[in-house]
Amino acid sequence: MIPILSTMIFLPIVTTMFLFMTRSPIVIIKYAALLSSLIVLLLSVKLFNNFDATSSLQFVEKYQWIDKYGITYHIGVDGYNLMIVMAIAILMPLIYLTLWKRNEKGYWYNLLLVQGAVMGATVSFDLILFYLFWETMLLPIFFIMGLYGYEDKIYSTLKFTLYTLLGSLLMLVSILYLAVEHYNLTGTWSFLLNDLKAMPLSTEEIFWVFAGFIFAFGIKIPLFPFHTWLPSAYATAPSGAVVVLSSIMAKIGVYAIWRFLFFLFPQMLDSFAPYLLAPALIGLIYFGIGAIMQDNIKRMFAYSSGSHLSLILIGLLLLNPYGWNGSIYLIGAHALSSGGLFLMVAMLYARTNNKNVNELGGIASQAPLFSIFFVFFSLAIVGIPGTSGFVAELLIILGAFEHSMLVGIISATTLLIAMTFIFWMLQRVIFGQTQKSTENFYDLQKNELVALVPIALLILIMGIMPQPFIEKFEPTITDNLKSSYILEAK
Amino acid sequence: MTNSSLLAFIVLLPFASSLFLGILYLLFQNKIKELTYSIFGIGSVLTSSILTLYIATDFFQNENLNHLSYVAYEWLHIENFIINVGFFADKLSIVMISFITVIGTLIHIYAAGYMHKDEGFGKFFAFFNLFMGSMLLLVLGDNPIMLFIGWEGVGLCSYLLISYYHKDAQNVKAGNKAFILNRIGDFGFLIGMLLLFLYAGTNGFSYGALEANIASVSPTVLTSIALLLFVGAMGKSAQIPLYVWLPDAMAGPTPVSALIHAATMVTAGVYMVARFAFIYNLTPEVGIFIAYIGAFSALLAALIAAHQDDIKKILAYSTMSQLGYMFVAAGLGLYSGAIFHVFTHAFFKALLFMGAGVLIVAMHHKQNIFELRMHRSLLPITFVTMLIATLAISGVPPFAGFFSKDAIMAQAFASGQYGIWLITTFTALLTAYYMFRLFFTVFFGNRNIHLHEIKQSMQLPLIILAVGAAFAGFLNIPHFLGGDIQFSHWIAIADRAEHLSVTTEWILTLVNVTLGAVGILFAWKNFAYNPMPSDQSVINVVFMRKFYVDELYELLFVKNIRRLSYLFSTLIDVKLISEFIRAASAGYYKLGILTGQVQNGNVRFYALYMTLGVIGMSIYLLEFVK
Amino acid sequence: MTQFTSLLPIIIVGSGAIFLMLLSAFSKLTIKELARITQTIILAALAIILMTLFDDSFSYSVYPEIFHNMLTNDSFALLFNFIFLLGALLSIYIGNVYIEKNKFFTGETFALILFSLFGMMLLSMATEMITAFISLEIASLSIYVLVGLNRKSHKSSEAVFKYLLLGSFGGSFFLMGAAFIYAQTGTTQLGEIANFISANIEQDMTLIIIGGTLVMITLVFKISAVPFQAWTIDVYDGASLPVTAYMASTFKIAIFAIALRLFLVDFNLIQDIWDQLLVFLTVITLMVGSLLAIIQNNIKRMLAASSMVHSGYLLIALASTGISGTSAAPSIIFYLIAYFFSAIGAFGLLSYVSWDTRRRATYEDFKGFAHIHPRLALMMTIFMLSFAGFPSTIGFLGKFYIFTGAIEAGYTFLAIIGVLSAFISIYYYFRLIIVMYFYPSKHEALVLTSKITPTVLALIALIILWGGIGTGLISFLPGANGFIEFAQNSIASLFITH
Repeated sequence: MIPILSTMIFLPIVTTMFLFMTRSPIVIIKYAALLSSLIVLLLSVKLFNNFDATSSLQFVEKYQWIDKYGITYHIGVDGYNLMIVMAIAILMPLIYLTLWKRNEKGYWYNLLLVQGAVMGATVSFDLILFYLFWETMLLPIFFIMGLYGYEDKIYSTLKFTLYTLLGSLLMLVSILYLAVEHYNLTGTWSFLLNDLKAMPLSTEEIFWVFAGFIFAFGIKIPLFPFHTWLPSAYATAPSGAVVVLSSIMAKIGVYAIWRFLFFLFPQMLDSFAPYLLAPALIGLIYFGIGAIMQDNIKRMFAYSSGSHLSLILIGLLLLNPYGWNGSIYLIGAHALSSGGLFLMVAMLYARTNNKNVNELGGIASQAPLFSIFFVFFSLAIVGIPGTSGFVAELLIILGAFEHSMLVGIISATTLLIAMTFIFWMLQRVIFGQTQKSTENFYDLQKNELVALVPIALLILIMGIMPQPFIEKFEPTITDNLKSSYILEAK
Repeated sequence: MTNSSLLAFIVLLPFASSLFLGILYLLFQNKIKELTYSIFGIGSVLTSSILTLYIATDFFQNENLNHLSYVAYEWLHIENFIINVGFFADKLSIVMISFITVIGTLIHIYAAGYMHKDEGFGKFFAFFNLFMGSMLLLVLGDNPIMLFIGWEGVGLCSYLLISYYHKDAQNVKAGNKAFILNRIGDFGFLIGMLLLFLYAGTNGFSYGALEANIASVSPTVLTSIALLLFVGAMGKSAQIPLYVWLPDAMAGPTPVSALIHAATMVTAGVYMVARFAFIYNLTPEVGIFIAYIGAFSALLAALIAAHQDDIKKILAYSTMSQLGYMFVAAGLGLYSGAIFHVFTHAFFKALLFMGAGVLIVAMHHKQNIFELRMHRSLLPITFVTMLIATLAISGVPPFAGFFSKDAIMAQAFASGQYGIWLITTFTALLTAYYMFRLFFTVFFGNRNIHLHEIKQSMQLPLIILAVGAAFAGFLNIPHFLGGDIQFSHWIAIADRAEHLSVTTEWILTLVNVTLGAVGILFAWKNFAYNPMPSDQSVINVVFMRKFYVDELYELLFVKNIRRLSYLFSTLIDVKLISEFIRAASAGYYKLGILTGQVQNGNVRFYALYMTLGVIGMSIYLLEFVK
Repeated sequence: MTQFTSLLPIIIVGSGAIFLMLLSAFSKLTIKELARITQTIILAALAIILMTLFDDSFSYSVYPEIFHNMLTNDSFALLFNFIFLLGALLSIYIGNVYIEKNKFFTGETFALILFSLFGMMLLSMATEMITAFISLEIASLSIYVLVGLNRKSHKSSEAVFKYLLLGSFGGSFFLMGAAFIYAQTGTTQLGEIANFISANIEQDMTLIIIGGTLVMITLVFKISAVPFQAWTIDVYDGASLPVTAYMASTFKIAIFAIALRLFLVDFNLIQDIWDQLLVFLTVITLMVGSLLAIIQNNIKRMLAASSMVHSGYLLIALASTGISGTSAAPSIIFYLIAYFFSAIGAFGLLSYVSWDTRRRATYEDFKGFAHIHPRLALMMTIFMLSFAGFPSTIGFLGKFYIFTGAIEAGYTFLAIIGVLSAFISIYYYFRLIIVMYFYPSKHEALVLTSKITPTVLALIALIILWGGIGTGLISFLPGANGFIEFAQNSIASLFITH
């Protein structure tokens, strides 16, 4: 019995170290990267099959790490992070495939590293362990952005780094505070999530600790108004980084709120939820509308994913089964659709060297395959029925209406806003007359096709028969919600 | 019932072949024959229509069979939000799907001719089948969610097909417009649907379960639900105020206009209202509202249509106008009447569009009726069939439109909505006028024009449809004409039909017919010989520019949204927040420079403030010691 | 461990110093050979210490009948001595190229290094104030000279002048303080002082308090806390790089040896008097330090300024000791270890790439460094990350430890201020990473002869990483756990009474 999760975390990292040490040529690196990520994918499939929907935490690995301070290597999977684990495992190899033409070693090293780091952050159940991965997953992105970015890459890289680090440093204080409180209470050090759960703190203390966490997560997601790093970062970052940022890291930000805030302070849940719900709702509309007038396609998608992440956030703040399951499903769905779309934007940019929506166009007549997929992913983002996004958004909006009329209506506007800019973008980018930048626009290559088809299929399958996926996590989620939170709240 | 699973196949077939064609097209584009595409494209729809008719016969044969249902699999199951991919057919849906599939098949055949030599032939049929699938799902789905999925699906297909000629940005714009306005409708529809679930869906979300629970819902909630659902219909069926997309939708290929924007999709709204009869019967006040919206839409459309020169635009507005009639009927509770009009309308409107298509192709893609002007003998079949259709839409007995429209106006009068009756009657006059304006203008020209040749596959469907347009009406002959509204009885929806004395009915009918005749004569006088486009007098311009509604919307919504977007993403994000942060960090750096002054390298100065430090500490100390 | 072997390292170093002085005066040995000899001497001393480094905490007075409790040997002193020796050794190893290439390094240099080592080692064992003062002065004086080695460099001579002046000014307070304390307690023995205080805790302690404060002044001066930081940047900048590496990594640590003995043990009971003072010093040190660091364009000066910030962190811990915390005191030791490795690494690498004294001084000079020296750049990155307290480096655990201690002691706001200055430090540390990686290279690759130096640096980098993530699973490599254990042991040994 191999430690499946640890392998999924460390295989890419170890591969990188090995490759770096042996100064392997780029070809080897590419294949090694692809191979390792495929192994991870296989493991994840195994994991998904063996995942038992009825029991909560599974595939647990738990070792003493820095026992002087009760810091433990404790990882596992449950209904909350299953989707993200799968998303990472599925997306990374496809990213490698689409970036196959990139020949910078550093690019590949850092992608491999970030794969390990995000996986680690997703499955850790010890706050320091989580913090470690949470921080280290920033570094590779920092390097990719700084090394292979565009325009004023250095400014926006620094901006991005400082933003996120400020957040996580404040989180560190919160973590330490909790641990110390726990120590004063029990006389033993521990950073285990379960040990630090539901500690008898004063409301004021909880507020500050909570604030520390929210800073970190809110910036990563990004939660309005912590978002100003986002557009510039997406605009300047190379595609590999952008996919990871939007399809994976941002999701981890939302997930972390679940895993840590809600788990640590169940008793304060529904007193805090409204204060987060407000900015989330604002964000949904604000980002959505902000996206409309963006001419830089990458900036546009930056706002777009901001808007969708706000929706995911809303889903989890609704504190009802529909909202929760909906937003967990949307985590997966949006990871796929935005992943696919960003990969295609990457191809678009690689072909045209142009990010300005108004200088593109006429691609449909040049590259039918490309256009079909591009349109498909756009529709998936909008949440057209038949795609996974629809199911998720339907659930979230339903939950929103169960929560209250106003919230319901505001959340439902996502139907309108997302569509507005997506379709306007399609009109200008894909259709219309061929322009200078798109004159010799070649259609999808083999590797690109191989990368995109699985995503597309998955989106369709998840949209046409969602139940098999949902029933993997739905039971635990719903029970959790009912047992711990609602009861304690009421 | 063994063959209830056939329902699934009816829906599935078009989807399957759509997927297949799509892949085929992506792999080979035009390297394979149009024939192959056509075989699958038409074949699938044809099969569905055969299956449909097969099932329909069941319904005819045994009286006590009033619905079939078949559950494919569980789609979603969270708490009591349990949605099945299930299919449900009662007589209402049977009527819908039978004319959808049959006419759909005909239009597919027609399209095979019309799209001949088009580079995207395969793609076209893929989309076309996709549409059929969605439309059938919309009708056959056994719960509102399935309906909604189909509902959005048809909207998507209409977007794809309107912007089919995507090289011209205008067409794509039109597609966007259609989709966006539809989505605004769907927005309302979705909200209504979800509220419906939250208030009445506790034991199941199928129509049956809802109908059972509906009584328990408080009237106010029910009213809002009814209204919200109707908002969806406004978008889908191009009623005031969401109608502006329909005329632009004519940018698509003509078969698309015939199938989607005349015969089937646009009538989905009417179907939806009929489907939710059990709600609208409990909220008559909403019904009145719907009826008025319908009436005004009918009138407005007719007025505009009378001043358009583009043949497809005229037909588009006439469609909107006829849809208005249907909503009048549905609003006033005569659901069967509405559906019957949907049914008849499908025949003659599809026919008109396809006829128009023939003309357009024949005249090398002109669309202005005054440029299309030719001699009837050049295209005899088209001439005859279109004449029948025109008569039918103008409500001339004994053609189909006469029966269906007459019943509606009678209902309006009977239920005491004289305002509505007046509007609809006047609209009937206009209808006759503008339809024959088109007809005379086009077919009474001189004979020596060279025409582009027309494929047989484009002629044949016209004839079949013409038969329908001529005789479909007899399915529902009213009492005062010695009939026994069999259709309405058979379809068995909970109508709120009012009854009039036979004499009144006769009078109303005569009024209609005479008005119709007047309209036709008026048109004859002006347009049969040397027809003139309407002059540029202010009033006409207002009509021609469709009352400037587009411009108004542009001004009200589009511009402001963009302003807002600019405000958010540029002014606030970049100019305000980012700049603030930039300034803050710069300020901090300046502070650093300032502090740097203490490191001026002058050792005396160093010693000085070290001493100050010492003194400071001593003071601190003194504070303590005492 | 016998009394004798506990003194042996010091004896070796001391005699070695004298031996080298004579040797360099009378023989024609090359710098290389002299360095070799020095290394062997230090290694010998290290070897002896290593024998007992891993024992559990112990403490005993050395030859009480001779020294009368002036010297104590305990785990605490042992650990410190170990660090000093290691520091010296590594500085010489890393700096070897620099030392060979620059003529102003002579035999005396090594003698001086050993003398300063001697002083520091004595200081770490001193349990008598005058002894402490003397050893402190021995160390300081030899360091002054080391700073001024490069007589040709105007900058260097200016630096040594400042250092000498301010240093002796600051140092004098210690003696005065000792006098005050003697005046009240009638002793200069640390243990005695402790006893005196605990015996008559009710009485008025004015003189002791004044004395303590004066001592404290010297200490905060030596660790360059604001407002006594003035000399730091200029001196660090003026000194030649190997020397900077040496003093930065060891000398500050030496100060803490005596500081902890005094304030942790002897002034334990009255320590709370200094609380607000320490807190205040901490805050301004952190703030001013950060401000000074961000404006530097010269890496050396930046590191100098940032060393103030690190003193600030240490002061956080110092302020948090005593009260209720169990973490604060060991956290100081741990942080010192962490800082030691990062500093020796960073300065060492600087000296390695700029042996010809002109190149690679400013951020400008490091542009594109990673593209010509990927491995060195990676190491530098690791050092910077460790300075910045980035997770998976030992630097992170250092901060983790200190902030935990602060929160435990109820100084959460100090922890927050600490975190904020850590945030600012991201800017000036990452700035170096950015210039190294994200800019095209302007210089051609350096010819880097030495094989040893990169190896040693890589070793340090690994230690830093291992110290950050190392687990108890692999016993023979201490890792994070091991370092924490060292720290706790050595602190524990302070409280062993005999």
